[in-house]
Amino acid sequence: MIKSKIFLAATLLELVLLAGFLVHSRRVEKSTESLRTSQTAELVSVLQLTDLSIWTEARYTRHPSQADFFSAFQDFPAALEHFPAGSVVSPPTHLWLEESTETTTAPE
Amino acid sequence: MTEGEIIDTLIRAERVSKVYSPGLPDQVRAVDDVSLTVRTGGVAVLKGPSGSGKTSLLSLIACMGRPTEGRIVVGGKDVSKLPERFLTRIRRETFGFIFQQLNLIRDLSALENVLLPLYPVPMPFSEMRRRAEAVLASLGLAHKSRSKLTQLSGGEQQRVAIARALIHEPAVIVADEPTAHLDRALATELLDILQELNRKGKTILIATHDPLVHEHPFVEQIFQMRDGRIEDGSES
Amino acid sequence: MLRHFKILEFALSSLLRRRYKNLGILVVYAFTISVLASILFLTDSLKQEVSRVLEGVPELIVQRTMAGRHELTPIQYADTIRALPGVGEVRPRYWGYYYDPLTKANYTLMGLSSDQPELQQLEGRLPTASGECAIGPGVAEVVPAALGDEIFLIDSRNTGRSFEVVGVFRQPSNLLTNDLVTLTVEDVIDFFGLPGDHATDLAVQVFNDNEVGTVAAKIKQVFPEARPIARSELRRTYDALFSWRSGMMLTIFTAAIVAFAILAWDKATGISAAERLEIGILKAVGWDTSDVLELKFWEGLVISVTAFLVGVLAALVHVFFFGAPILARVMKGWSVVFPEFRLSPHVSLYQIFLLAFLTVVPYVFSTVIPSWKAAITDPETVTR
Repeated sequence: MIKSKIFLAATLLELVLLAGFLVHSRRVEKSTESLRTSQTAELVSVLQLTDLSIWTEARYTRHPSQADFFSAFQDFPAALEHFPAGSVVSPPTHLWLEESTETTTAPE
Repeated sequence: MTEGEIIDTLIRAERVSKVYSPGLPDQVRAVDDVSLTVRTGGVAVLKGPSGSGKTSLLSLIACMGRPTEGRIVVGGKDVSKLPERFLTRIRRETFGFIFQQLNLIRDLSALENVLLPLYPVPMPFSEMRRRAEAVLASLGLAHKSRSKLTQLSGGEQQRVAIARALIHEPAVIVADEPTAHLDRALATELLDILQELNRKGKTILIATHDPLVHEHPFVEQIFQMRDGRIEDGSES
Repeated sequence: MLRHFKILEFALSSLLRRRYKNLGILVVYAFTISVLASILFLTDSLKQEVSRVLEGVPELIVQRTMAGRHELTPIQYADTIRALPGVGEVRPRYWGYYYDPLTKANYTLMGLSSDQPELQQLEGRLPTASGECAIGPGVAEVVPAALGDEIFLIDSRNTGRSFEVVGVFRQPSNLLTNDLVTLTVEDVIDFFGLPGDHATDLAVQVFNDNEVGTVAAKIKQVFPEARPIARSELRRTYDALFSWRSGMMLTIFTAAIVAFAILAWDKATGISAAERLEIGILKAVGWDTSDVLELKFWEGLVISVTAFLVGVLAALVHVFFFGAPILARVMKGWSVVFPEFRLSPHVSLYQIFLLAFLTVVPYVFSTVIPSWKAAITDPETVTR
């Protein structure tokens, strides 16, 4: 019956590791959360940032929330995507999502 | 039948028929209105050419399948209409089947093949092992128990198949064309083993067209089959 | 109970009998799961970062557009907007992109007024005088430059300008500051040759969150060519970015699903004759249908649970201990400056269960179902 014992022991070990990680991550999160949040908020408000600095290939990948139509289609209207990250980054919702500020503005 | 005869009967088939692929173009009536009885501790042979229905009848008696018509009574129990779980249990505990093709699992060792029938029963692994090794030893294969099947000779593989059939200590040994792939010497050896088992009280049921088998002195009953029917059932 | 352990034992023996095939399946399967899980963990963590960021973002950013293209915003818009009810501070933002031909990298240049507090995530200080700059860790790495060094940038008049590095943002802030070069406002205006009365856009403070929409509508009324972007839209943009329907998730997800589908298809299109014979033999020697199905169940479960656990653990290590270097390489594209991911471990139990369900259940099904027919067949077919 050794095979089933080994299998069950190995599976138990893996589950313990997974559970251990989950517990550890909760603990780390709790202890560092407020610090991280305050430091981030400080940076964001002082520097007046709006986007994460991840993809620096193009304007619309660097500041996805601020992008306009032109930046993605700068070559011509039906231009194909040539920046790899452009196929990963979706356009800002306010350009295509119905419930954006632009369309829900109530006329006075 | 006298009362004594009824009590003494282990296997009884009453007007049993088996139809494969019923209603389809390739419908076959493999067993047709067969009735027979085999006494406890008896040795019976189903004799006939291939296609005569012996294998099908053997399978039905050994609870491998259910008859289309008629009934089969084993140890006083009608097994023809039993739910699968009970049928399996009877098959496992009452019958030890030796297949024509042996049907051993090639990648397993001799011991592992013999252990197969014991997995579903509530028996500790250590006890399973002990039993399997004992049975293999009784058939002269103690030193080969760990060998892979591919490392065993034809005769040794035959004995592994017999060991597997014996592991549950069944009351009935069923063998389908057991000498089909054996040379004369090995066939004789096999019949000696079966005779020995019969002496220990086991009922033997064999399907064969090999005269070496049906002319053997330990055979008590011969049922001549043709086209799914018993032409002649005689005591020898 | 004992019976179940024995059948499990037999299942393990069966798997080991075809060990190379099953090991191959296990490896491919675990790899697929680790890719999927890595993406899930990474995007979830980034979402966490975004929600932290959004705490401090201005309620409205007002841009100006012309023919759908972003244009500079006149500063006098600020006075009008400030006068609207519910509006607090309106600060012009001066920022733009700079392409460095030496490093072939894009930086974001930002102008900051001199009266800034000390920042915890900044080693040194922010620029207070002309010719000074604070740079992000990605810029510091790619140039390379450290505190006290000078960096050279070419302005809009094609003149080389040097800036002394008075501050370097710390690594933990890299998701926000990686490509930043902060200068004084005057330096940015001069560098880009911005007209004196124009800013890039305006950051508008709105006191009441519920009034953001109303204020935005009013701004649009007064300045039809203005585009106000609310904080909620920022959140939606990043939600969409990191959701499974976005490019990143979808691309890699789809590839992984296809790989998995091929695997499942191979199993589900029926069992081999050898497997069918083996099931027939088991039934013939006394296994009933439920025993056979349990065997197949264990075979499927052993592979899928092992693959799942190994895959998820590998993904956790990959993302949270090593910063997802493999995924980063895929995501990076042509970005020269790309942050090293140092994410605080955050895993949702819901995601783990969902992943477990999606990976284990189909595989077990695809192992058990094809064997069903053979398992319910009477063993006499073995003898025929």
